[in-house]
Amino acid sequence: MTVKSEDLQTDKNKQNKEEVRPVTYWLRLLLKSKTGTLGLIIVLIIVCVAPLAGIIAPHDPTQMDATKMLTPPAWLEGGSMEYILGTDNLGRDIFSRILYGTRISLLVGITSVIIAGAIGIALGLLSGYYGGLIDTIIMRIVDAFLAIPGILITLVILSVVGPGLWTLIIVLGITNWVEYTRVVRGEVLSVKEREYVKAAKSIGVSDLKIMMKHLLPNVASSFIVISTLSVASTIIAEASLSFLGMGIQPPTVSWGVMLNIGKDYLAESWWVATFPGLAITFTTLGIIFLGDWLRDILDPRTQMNGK
Amino acid sequence: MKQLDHMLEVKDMKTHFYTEKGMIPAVDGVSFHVDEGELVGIVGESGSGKSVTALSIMNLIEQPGKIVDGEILYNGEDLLQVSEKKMESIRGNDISMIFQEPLTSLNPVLTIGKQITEAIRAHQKVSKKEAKKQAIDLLHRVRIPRAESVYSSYPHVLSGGMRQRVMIAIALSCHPKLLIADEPTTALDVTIQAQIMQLLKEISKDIGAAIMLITHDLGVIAEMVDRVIVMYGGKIVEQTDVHTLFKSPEHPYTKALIESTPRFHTLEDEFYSIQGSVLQTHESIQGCKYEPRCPYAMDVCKKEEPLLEDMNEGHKVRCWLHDQ
Repeated sequence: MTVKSEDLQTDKNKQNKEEVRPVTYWLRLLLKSKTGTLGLIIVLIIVCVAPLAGIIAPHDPTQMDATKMLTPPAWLEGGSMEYILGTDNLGRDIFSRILYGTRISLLVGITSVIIAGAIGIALGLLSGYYGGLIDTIIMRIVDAFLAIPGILITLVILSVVGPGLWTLIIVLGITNWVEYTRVVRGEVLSVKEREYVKAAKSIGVSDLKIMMKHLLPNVASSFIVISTLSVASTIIAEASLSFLGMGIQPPTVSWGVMLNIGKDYLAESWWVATFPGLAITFTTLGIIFLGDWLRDILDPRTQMNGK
Repeated sequence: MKQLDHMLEVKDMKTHFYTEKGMIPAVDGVSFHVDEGELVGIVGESGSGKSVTALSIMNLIEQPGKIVDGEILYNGEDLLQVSEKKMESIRGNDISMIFQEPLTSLNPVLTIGKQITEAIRAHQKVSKKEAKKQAIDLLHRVRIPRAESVYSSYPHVLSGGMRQRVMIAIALSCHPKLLIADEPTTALDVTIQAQIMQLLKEISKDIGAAIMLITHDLGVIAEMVDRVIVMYGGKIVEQTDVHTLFKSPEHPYTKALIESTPRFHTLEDEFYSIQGSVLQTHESIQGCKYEPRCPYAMDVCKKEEPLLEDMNEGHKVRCWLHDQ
C-alpha cells in the first residue's frame, strides 16, 4: 500500500522520499487529519483494551453480587468508586463488562470481515478476470444477495441453526461478501485491460499468478477501506443480533447482550443500557473515522481535492 | 513448400473483431514466415493490422476479437491448436513480446526485481536467490546502471528508456527464439530510440533470437531489419528484402510511405502525406483496399482485389499495376 500512495505522490515527495521512512510519512499524513487521528486513537485504545481486559478490569465481568444490584455510576448519589459506571440488575460491574465486551466485538468484527473478504475477493477476481458465463453466474448470485436485506438472511439462518458465537461469525461472513465482490470485480475489469497484464501474459505468467500478483495488489486499497468500514457495520450487526437475542448468548459478555438487559431498566437505571450503547457508538465512530481517512489517502482523487 | 525450414510460419491467418457495428477484419489472410535469427520488419500505418498480427501470434487476442482462420506454425506445430497450458510455456520461453508503452507495461505496484524474477520463475525451476542473480545479470546486460538498486525499486522511479530496457530484460529473460517488438520505441525520444534499437539488435544476436519488429518508422526499418513486410488494411501488400524496398518499391502504398518520410535535404515547407485514412469501416470493399487513396487507381482496382504475387526472388507485391 505504501507503494501505491507513494506512486501517486511522486511529485510531492520526490526529494524527501529517500530520507523519510514510510511510517513517518504516514504518521505525518495522519496527523493532518483531525478525525483520522481521533479514529486511530479510539481504535488503538480498543485494540489495546481487548487483550488486556483481564488486567485492567476491576471486577470479574460475570461475578454477581445481590447486594450491589443497579448501583448508579460513581458520580451519582449512591454510587461508589468501586463501580465507576455502576452495576446491572445482577450486580455485575458495567465498566468491567464493557472492557470484556471489546473482545467479542473485535473478534466478531474482524473474523467475519476476513471470511467475507476472502469469499468476496476470490469471487470478484474470478468474475472480473474471466468474464463471460462465470461473471454472469457470480453477479446474479450477488444480485440475489443484494435483493434481500442482510439482517433478514442472518436472522433466518441463526434461527434455523441456533445462535452461538461462531455461527454468528460465519453467518455474518457469508452474508457480507457481496460488497467486496462488486468492488473487486469493478477494479479488476479496469486493471486487467492495462498493458502490464498483457505483458505478464506475453512472458508466460499463468492466470492464477496474474490474479494474485498483478490484480490483487491493485485492489488492495479498496479492500482496506471497505473492510475497515465493514468491521464497524459488523460490530453493529453483532450488537443488534445479540440485542434481539439471536447473537451472543449470556453469560458471554457482549455489548449487545448488555443493551438487551439494560432495556428493561431504562426508566429507573439508565446507565445499564447507556454505557454499552456509548461503547458501540464510539467504537464504530472511531473505526469509520479511520476508514474515511484511509480512503482519503489511498484514493488519489479525494487527495487532490482535499489538500 | 519446405515448411519445416521456417521457425515461424503464419499461413493465411485471419483475425476478426466482432463489434456492435459489425465484423472488422483487422487481419485478413496474412501469410509470412520468420527464420531463425532473422530480423523481420512489419510496417504500415496505424490500423493496418500490425499489432493484431503480433498479438495473434502470441494468442493474446481478446474479446471481441477472434482468430477465425489460418495456421500459425512454430517449428511445425500449430499454435492455434495447442492447449492454453502449452501456450503459457511457449510465451516467454520460445516467443516473447515487447510492448509499445514502457510506461504502462510494468506493474506500478511491484518492484522491477519481482517482475523480472516472475518471468524467470515462470519457466525455470530455480530458487529465488538464483532468479535474483539472473535478474541482476539481465539488468547489467541491458546496460542499466546501478542494477542492484534498480532491482529493488518501483517502476515510477525509472525513465521511459530505462523502463523499456527493463521490458527487454524481461522479454529476453528466458532466451526466446523469437522476439516480437511492437513499436518498442514509439513512446521514447529519438536519442533513446537509437540506443534501444541497438541494444535489441545486439542482445538478440547474442542469444540467437529472431526479431519481428513492428513499426511505422521506415528509418528504423532501414537500420534494423533484413526483410520487410508492408501491411495495409489487414493484408500484406508488399514483401521484400530491405534494400529492394528502398531502392525499388513496387506497391503505390510503399512508395507513398517512403515518400512521406521527412527528409533533411529538402527545403519544402510541406510534408508529403497520403491522402485519406486507413479504412475503418466494416463494409468490405470489393476491390483493392488501397484503391480509394491510390493515385494510380484503375478500373480493375475497384472491381477486384489483386493477389500477392511474386515478382522476382521473393519480392511479392499485391497490385494490379505490376500485373501488366
